[in-house]
Order: sequence, then structure tokens, then C-alpha cells
Amino acid sequence: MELKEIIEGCLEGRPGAWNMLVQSYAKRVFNTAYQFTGSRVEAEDQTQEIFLKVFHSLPKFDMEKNFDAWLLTLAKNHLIDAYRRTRWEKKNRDDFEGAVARKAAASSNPEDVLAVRQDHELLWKGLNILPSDMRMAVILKEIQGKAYEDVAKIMKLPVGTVKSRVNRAKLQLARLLGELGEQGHAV
Amino acid sequence: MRCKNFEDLLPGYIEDVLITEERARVSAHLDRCPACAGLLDRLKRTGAALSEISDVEPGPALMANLRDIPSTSAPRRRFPVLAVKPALQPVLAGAFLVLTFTAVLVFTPAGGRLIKTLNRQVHAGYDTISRVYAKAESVADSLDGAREKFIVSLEILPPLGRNQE
Repeated sequence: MELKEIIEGCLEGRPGAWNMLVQSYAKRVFNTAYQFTGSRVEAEDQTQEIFLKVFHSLPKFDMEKNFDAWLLTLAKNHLIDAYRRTRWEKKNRDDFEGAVARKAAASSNPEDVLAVRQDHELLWKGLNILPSDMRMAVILKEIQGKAYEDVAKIMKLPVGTVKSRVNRAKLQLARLLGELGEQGHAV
Repeated sequence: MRCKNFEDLLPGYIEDVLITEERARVSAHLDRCPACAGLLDRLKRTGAALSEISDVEPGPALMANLRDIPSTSAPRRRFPVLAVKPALQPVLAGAFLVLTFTAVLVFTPAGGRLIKTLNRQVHAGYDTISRVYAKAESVADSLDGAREKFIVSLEILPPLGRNQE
């Protein structure tokens, strides 16, 4: 079934259409929430709230527009708003899960594996030092591998602004990697 | 150029989007600055480590909750006024504010007092204007009288030449 049919099905209350929408987008939304909040429990709560918003906002969706960008913009706005509302509760991220690093153990050299794993742990924690807009830009571009143009569409910003935010975020993370590395990896 | 300026160019240096002269300047600086060279190395590691963070699977409980949304949440009934087109919403908001202000003036004691004060001020202002206008008229009349007297006095004066004669 095509996406347009799925959306129309959801609007008409056709059985199965909503399930297909959830099946297609739950993983993407959940991972965006997880990478942004750094907490599984928080990400699950936020994902439910985002899908509830999607359910209620679907009648307003313009079928001529890009649904992916619409949904991710909605998710981005929700996550940033929620973060700003309750910032004090989100200072800590979950411990880094080995499962989220694809190639961490790919090298045969144990020292390399350890260094890569340390980098991952530091960056996972370090994402929280970034301002929410900058963090979202770096998640969409660097972790999810989207093109600058797509990130700009989702964030409703000029491409140049997105590029500079991503670059500044990477520089901040790189500096953090140096500082924390020198302190013996104590986040 | 100081290190700070070069640091800002490092992401572009890695992505190879700097112009030739800029790239050459950054390369030359990296050759003689271990701090910036170290930052470049960490920046590369940062990019690599971020791209290696992969997706995780949402749990079955979450998926079940998401699938249940249509059955657990009734569609929201929108208040008809809120269904107005976005472009008309400022007009609606303005009208609402005017109505609220009018209601406050008409239906609250404070509003009544404000209206009375305004009435008094308006009447006092009107009285002042009337008085100023009346005074202006009397000044104009007295000026008219002075003008007539001046003309009469000129008329009764003997001509200058005849006097000399």
C-alpha cells in the first residue's frame, strides 16, 4: 500500500491503516527521541506523545507535501519543546548501550576497539552539552545520515544555518573528546 | 590568523569544501600547530563515531501502545471558532480583545468608574476649549475696536503737507 493510501486509510478509519503507519515510522521516531533524550524510558514516553499528536493532526496534513518531513518536523518540535519544559530532569543520559554502535567491535586490534568504544561513550554523554537545536541538527545529519537539505526542511532553517550548526556541534564534541580524554574519561 | 580562526575552518577542511588558498593556509597551520592537528584528529573521530551510532528497536510494549492509539483516544472535537483559517485568526483575536475590553468597561464597577472619569475629563476639556474660544473672540473684538479707532484717528489727522503750510 502506498503512503498516500495509508494516510487516507487512517483518515477514514480503515482497519490496519494506522498499524501500517506505526510500523513504517515508529522506529524512526523512537530512535530520534532516543538519540535526543538519551533515555529509553523518556524516548518511549515522547514517542507515544508524538504519535498521539500525529493521530490528531493527520486531518490537517496537506497530501501534496512530504509526509516524512512533516512527521519529523512534528517530532522535532515536540522533543525540543518537551526538553525546554523539563530541562532539569534531563541532565543525565542512560549508560551507553553497546548495541547502538555498529562497528565498534569490527577492528581486530583490542586497543582500537577500546578507543572507539570510549569515543562512543564520551560522545553519547557529550550530546547533552549541546543546545537542543544544535543537538537535533547533529542527530539528523551525522547519526541519521540525512542530507543537509533534508535537515533544513525538517528544521525549517536555511541550509547554511544547518551546516554551521552541525559544524559547531562537531567542534564542541571534538573539544569535549579532548578534555575528557585528558581527564581519563570521567563524564 | 589565530588558532580560533583555523578551528572554525576544520569541518570544511575535512569535507573538502574550502577554496584552494584557504585549504593551503589551513594545511600550513596544521603542519606547525600540534593543538589544531589534534583537534582535527578528534573532529574526524567525532564524525566517525557519530555515524556509527545505529538504530535500536522499539520495544513490543511501545509498539502495542502506538497501535492502540485510535481505540484509546477519541478524536478531539475542535471548538468551531478555532477552526477559522490561520490567516483570519489575528482578526478574530483582535475582535475578541475589543469585545473583552468593552465588556470590562460596561459590566464591571471599575469600568463604570473609568467611563465616569473619562466623561468628566472630556467635559472638562470641552469647557476649557469653550473658554479659550470665548477669550479668543473677545480679544478679536477688542482688536477690531482698536483697529477702527486707529483708522478714525488717521482720518482726523490733518494732512502732513497742509500742516506745514
